[in-house]
Amino acid sequence: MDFNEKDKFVMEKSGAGTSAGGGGGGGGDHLSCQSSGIPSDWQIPLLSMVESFNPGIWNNTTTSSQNLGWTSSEPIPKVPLFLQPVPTGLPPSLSHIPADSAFIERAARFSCFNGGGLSGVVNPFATSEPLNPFSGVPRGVPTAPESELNLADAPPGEHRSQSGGSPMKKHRGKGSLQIGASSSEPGDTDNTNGASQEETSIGEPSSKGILGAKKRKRIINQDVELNQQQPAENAKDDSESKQITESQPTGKAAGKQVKEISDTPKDDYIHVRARRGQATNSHSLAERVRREKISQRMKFLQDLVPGCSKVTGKAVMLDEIINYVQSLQRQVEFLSMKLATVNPRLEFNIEGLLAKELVHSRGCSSSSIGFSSDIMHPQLHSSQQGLVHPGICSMVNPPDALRRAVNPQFAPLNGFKEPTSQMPNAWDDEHHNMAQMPFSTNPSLSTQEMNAKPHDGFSM
Amino acid sequence: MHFNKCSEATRNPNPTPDLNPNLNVSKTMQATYFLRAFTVINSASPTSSTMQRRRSIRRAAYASMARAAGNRRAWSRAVLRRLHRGLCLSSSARRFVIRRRIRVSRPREPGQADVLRSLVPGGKAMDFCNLLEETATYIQCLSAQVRRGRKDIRWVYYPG
Repeated sequence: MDFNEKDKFVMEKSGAGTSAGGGGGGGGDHLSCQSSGIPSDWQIPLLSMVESFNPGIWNNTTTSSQNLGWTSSEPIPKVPLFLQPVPTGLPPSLSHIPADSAFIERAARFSCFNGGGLSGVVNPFATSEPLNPFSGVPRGVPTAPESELNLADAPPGEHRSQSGGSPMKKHRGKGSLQIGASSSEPGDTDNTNGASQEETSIGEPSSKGILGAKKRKRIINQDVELNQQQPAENAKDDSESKQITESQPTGKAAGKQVKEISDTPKDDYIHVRARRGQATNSHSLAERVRREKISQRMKFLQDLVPGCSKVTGKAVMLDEIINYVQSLQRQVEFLSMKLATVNPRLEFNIEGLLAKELVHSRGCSSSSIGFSSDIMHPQLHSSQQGLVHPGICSMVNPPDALRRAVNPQFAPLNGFKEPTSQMPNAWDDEHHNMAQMPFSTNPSLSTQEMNAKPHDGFSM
Repeated sequence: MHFNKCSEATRNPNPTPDLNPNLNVSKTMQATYFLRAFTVINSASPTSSTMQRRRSIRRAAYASMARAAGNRRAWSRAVLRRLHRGLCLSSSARRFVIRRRIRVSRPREPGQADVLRSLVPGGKAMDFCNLLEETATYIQCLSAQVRRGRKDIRWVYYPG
């Protein structure tokens, strides 16, 4: 009867394991329902199978524990959890798993953390096993005592998820062996050690095993989710998995355990792991990429917008950019207004203008610029109210007042007013200097000037 | 405003804003477009009022900018679309009011990014990342246009 209960537990646990494995594989959430809904009359032949196969493969497990003892001490390259070939056959350690529930518990605990690292160890071992009766696809083979058996008789649609679940079992068996050896006596990995652990855990009451299984199920699910997010950091995972396996048996602390039991809460580990996993989440990765892109473009804009290089902070920089764009738009408007006031009868030579762009070249006759300032006034009032006042002032004031106006923004305005009021030669020179400043060949100089304009000329 | 279609202009010489050396090409194209449009305006409507001419010149300025920037830039597409529809170009204040009226239901206060979106043509449908990119090219073209206009004015008043 004790065995029957244990077997129930095994099936429950296998349901948990397959659900975790299916979630890790990217699909097959329905598997857990399938495997948990197995009729109870399966349990008796299953049990008999287990008992029949237990003694035969017992030796193999001990050898495997030996082998794993030294492989665990050296760094193992991390392999993705479900990328390994599935039908390599069940490892021999699986056969004894249903016999002791505590062993399975430990196995299940371990597999989520270190299964990937162990898979590299497990697989060659399983393939080189000559006595393996489970070699090949476990489908239809009634010897597999765990969820492999249950899944083998499931509808054929489950085959893929079953194959996802079976390596988990393998890791579980192996991983438990490794942990049992390493956590109890890290240096010494004997057969006797693993065997004694198994034997001691056999006699454990099954109710505790079920309790532990429920707890474990929760933890397994959480940890499998986290483990997907961070496939790297093998060493840390190793240490943490050891810690957690040590902290796990608090549920069955009354059981005769060989290894030490630490009372550290599990939630701490889970919390830390979750936080670490968030950094490599796909959403946070995308967000990081976006932030980098934004900062790169901000840097480019910083070079583009004058006076923005010293500014630190995104908000201030955005302010500067907005001001600059506004000022540029106003300038375009203002220049178009100024060009519109040019006499339309004026002849333009585009080629000459374009040539003048490169070399200082000829111009057309501009003597026919005839307009009056009273035409300009309504335009100024309508569009550029900020410019009206200085424009009028410059009209009223004598040219020496204009000389004091260092702002080159009003240079074209003054030039515009020039024909109406007969300007002296000093005016002309002044304006010429002003107008030439923004067209200097040094682009940084001109941009500096353009930046200075919005604050001076367009402050209202 | 009749621009002579130039196939080189529709092709963007600088697909990314970081390509500064290619900007000279687009600057030259921009100047060519603008001056051509200026000539057309001057020759076509000699009797029009100054306000009309001002508006058309401003349009020519923005259109030459957009044309030189090419089709790849969102702001240039927006400018050309607006020009094609005959909408007013410098209606940033009006546009902003309209946008505010639409967004009344939104509880969020318009931040700096929204102000920038209202300034850069076609920026309303952009996320912040693209908005910054468009702003960069827009600033480049605007400053080139400003330089161009100043040069023209200087040339008009002070030939030689």
